[in-house]
Amino acid sequence: MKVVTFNCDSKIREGRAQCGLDGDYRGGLTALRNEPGPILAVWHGEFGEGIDAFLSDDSKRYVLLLGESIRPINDHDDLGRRFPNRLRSFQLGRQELWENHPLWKRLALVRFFRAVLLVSTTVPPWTFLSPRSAPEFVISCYLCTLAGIKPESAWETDFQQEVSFWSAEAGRESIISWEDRADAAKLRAFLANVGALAVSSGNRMGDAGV
Amino acid sequence: MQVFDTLVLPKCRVAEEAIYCWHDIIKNRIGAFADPFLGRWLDDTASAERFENALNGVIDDLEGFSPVRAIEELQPLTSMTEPVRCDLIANLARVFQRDFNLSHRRERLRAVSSPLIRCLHQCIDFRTDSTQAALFSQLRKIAKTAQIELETLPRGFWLPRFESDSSTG
Repeated sequence: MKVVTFNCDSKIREGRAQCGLDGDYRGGLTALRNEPGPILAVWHGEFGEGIDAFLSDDSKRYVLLLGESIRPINDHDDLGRRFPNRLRSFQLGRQELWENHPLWKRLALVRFFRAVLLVSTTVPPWTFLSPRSAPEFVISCYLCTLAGIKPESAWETDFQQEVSFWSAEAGRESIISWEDRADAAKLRAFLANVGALAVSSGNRMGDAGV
Repeated sequence: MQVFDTLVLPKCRVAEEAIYCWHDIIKNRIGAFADPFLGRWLDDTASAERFENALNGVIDDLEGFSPVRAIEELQPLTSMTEPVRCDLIANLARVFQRDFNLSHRRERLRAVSSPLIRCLHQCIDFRTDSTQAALFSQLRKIAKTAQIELETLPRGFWLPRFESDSSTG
């Protein structure tokens, strides 16, 4: 699948090589109208008329919107229903440098673009951009620690991605690193901080009248 | 007072069923519905059966709160070598057995659920226009007691409180 980026340099400039992408396309979306699909256009900004026309032209056209305060788009909202499985968004903050974006977001984009460019695919693998459902590697380390077992060294990369993702989602600076993988107090504080673990004051056993 | 932590993610099935029982049904239906609406809900036998099955399921499967069940849900732990994974399971199971008060909890839950289910059946099968108000009033009272007991259950997987601050709990 052909991938063309528009105005994305401010977001992913230093990450282009990792993602396998060329520089920004200098023409507008209309200049691509005679190109045969499938094409994925990566657009820095909000949905607009140009994108609407681009997607309406051909069912083998796809758009990924990147932006600072962009809203999530899926197949259940109005825009998503109009272009099912062909339009998605991915929020990237105001950071100027690629390295300053959260690690999980950089890795998600790299994996996504590599899959689009290198694997024979007819539809972009949007799930690569989906947030995680639970900080599984951090939880796993915490359970190991509670059980007096050393966490697996092979978990390092995934652990770091999760910490990056959940810290970014919680809007907080990360308070743990891989070095803390066996530090029960820090792991617990992190899990509580991102809402994966609830700290209870008691079970009220004995309070309930039977 | 026993103190513990709750692992909210990944989702704990039995915790969700417990919350469905005390929150969705007991609090928001039995406790909140006026008589005509409660009567209509009871007449929908599939809904009442779903509640009864869920309540019995929670009591029968209190082991579902064990962190050992969380292990099954966590993909990283599936890649551990078998001996290490067995150690992890054994150690967490031992703490759960020791501190969760499983049989005591089950006993208390049975003590409140049995009269609730009996009363529920009375309301469904034997209520008449003249007995409905009294039966519903009794049902709400018994259900409230069950709600209080069900609310003592964790909202996710039970975890032992980390030792360093167990003194503060």
